[in-house]
Amino acid sequence: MTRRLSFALVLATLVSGLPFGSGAAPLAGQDRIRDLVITTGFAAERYSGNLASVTVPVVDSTNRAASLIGEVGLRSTLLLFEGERSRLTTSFDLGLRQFVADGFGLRDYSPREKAARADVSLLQSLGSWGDASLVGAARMRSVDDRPPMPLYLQASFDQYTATARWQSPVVSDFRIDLRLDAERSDYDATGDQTQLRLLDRRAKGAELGVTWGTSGRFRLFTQLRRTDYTQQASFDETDPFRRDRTVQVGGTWSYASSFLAEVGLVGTMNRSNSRRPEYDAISLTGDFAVPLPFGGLNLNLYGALTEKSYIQETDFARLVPGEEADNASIVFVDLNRAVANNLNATVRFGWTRAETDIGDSYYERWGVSVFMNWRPLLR
Amino acid sequence: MLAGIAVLLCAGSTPLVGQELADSVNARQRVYQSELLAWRGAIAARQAAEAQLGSAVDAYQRARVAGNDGAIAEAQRQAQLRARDVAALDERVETVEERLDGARDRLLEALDARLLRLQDELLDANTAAERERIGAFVEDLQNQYRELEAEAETGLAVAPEYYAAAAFDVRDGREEWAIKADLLERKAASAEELIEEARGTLKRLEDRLRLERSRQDTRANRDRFGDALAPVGATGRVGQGGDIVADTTNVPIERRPLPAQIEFWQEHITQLETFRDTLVAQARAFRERLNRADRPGGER
Repeated sequence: MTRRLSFALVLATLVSGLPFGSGAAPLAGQDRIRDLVITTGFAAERYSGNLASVTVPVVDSTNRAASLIGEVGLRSTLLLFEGERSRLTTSFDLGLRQFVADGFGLRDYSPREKAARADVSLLQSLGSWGDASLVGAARMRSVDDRPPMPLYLQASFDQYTATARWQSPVVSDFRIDLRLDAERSDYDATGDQTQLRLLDRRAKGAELGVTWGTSGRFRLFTQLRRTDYTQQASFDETDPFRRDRTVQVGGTWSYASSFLAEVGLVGTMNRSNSRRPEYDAISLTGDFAVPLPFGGLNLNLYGALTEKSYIQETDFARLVPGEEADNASIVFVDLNRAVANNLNATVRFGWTRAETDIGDSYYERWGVSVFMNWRPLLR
Repeated sequence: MLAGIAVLLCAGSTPLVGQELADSVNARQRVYQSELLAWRGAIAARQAAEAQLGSAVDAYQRARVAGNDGAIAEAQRQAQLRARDVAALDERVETVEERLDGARDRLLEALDARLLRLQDELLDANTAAERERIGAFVEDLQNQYRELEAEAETGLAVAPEYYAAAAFDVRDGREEWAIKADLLERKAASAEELIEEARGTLKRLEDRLRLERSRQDTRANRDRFGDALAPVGATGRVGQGGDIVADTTNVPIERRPLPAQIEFWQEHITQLETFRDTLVAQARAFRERLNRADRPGGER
């Protein structure tokens, strides 16, 4: 039912974006569509590792696999209404990815991923009180013929989020922001994947941040979050379901001028009514976009490093192995170039590695992809 | 003269149809006069704004000579604001001009109908005095018709806007013309420098937009299927800062979305180019006077 609801939401968002505006300021079609991008891509990937995933019911003997992948994507942002002090927008992103996997002992797999995301945002100026926004978002993904490890693909789920945000006016170059959000995630636990319901969660969070600077901008923030895993046992009879409380403190530095940069450092302290998932973690992320001095190329570099430290040492697998590793490193390097004013080509190299302390298991993914991004409305 | 014609048209024993035509001409003349006044007002406001833009360009040049960065930035900001005023007043002039054209067309129609009627009356006139009176009407109306027709074809002449110090003066001689041409050329050069800076800013913004789009594509292709989500657990969404820009009309230009900034600078450059071209044309007019004066038997 939730799956159908997701599709309905996405569809409703798309449909609402087209004829909307009978009572709104008149907008021409070109003005209404702020961005429209059609993407096609091909990729070759290699996977290795012995990291088990309890969410994948089938186990294969191999530690190495590879796949060829084709994908298409469509994304857009539509302006539904624009008043003097408010704006209503919607955006969506749809994708289909087909894998042809090789190297498994049991049989050949041909996983197919479908992903959809849609949101509606209302932005409102509050004058001397700053600005506010309300965002409702739905995200859905489904995977057919999900393969065993080491080809790790996220499971199918539906996710709904609602976010309210307020941002103060700039006072002496500083501004404060406050964000409240709620999330509901339901995994598709049908068929032989009943254990996926362990990941179902409901979360509520509040984040307070302060930002300063202009082209180089700093932001410090802290977040409190409560997450209820409604299907996961805490092994405490008086309080049977896992309930986490998370405090995060972090900072980001972003720079936007001749190049774009974002560097973030976040510390996480996760405490729970179940002793197993209590950990401290630190994440470092970097995201850079730099024009190269030759060939009209742009370089996009993304890297993330996360390290966890559990409070309670155990000899057995914690939580949901495969979904919560002890550390992870991700690097993506994209080189792209405009082929025409409305078409750019991208070559991407990607690497992901995650490890757990249990049995020194790991998961690694290497890939090279080629994307063509076409903006048909851009002249 | 128009009032006189109107009185004459209304007077006498004109038949009812002729009276209606005369009323129609009078009413349309009043509308036309009113639109003409509005047009002159809009032109005057635009010329004042252009003069303010000129002052901003002067301030920019002075700040550059003094090497005062704060004053340069302020002069650039003033030039942006004044150029926007000129652009807004250009639109106003255009709107009023359309209304004036409409009023003129309707007056021409009324005059045409009235002239036809008067020609019939001229043929039916019984006495020489009556024929003379109607003939005088016809001549006046025909003159007015021709003036309006010429105005419709060539447009109303707009007096060229000079700097007060560089305004044309009949008492000027060769020396004054040379000084004024130099002054206008220097101001045109200052405007050109501002244009070059604005072009540089526009190019930087266009490069930045390409880079932003490249990053958006990269992120979208990376996040669509969750490839950047490592299996380290769901820790929520953090650090989602960034500006909420709800009121795009009331925020400083540098905080607006990049496409809006680019549009702004494109318009700004067009305004400055028009301004520079006007200065160059005015300087050229003085130079031509000088050239003519240098020829044997030329002006003094």
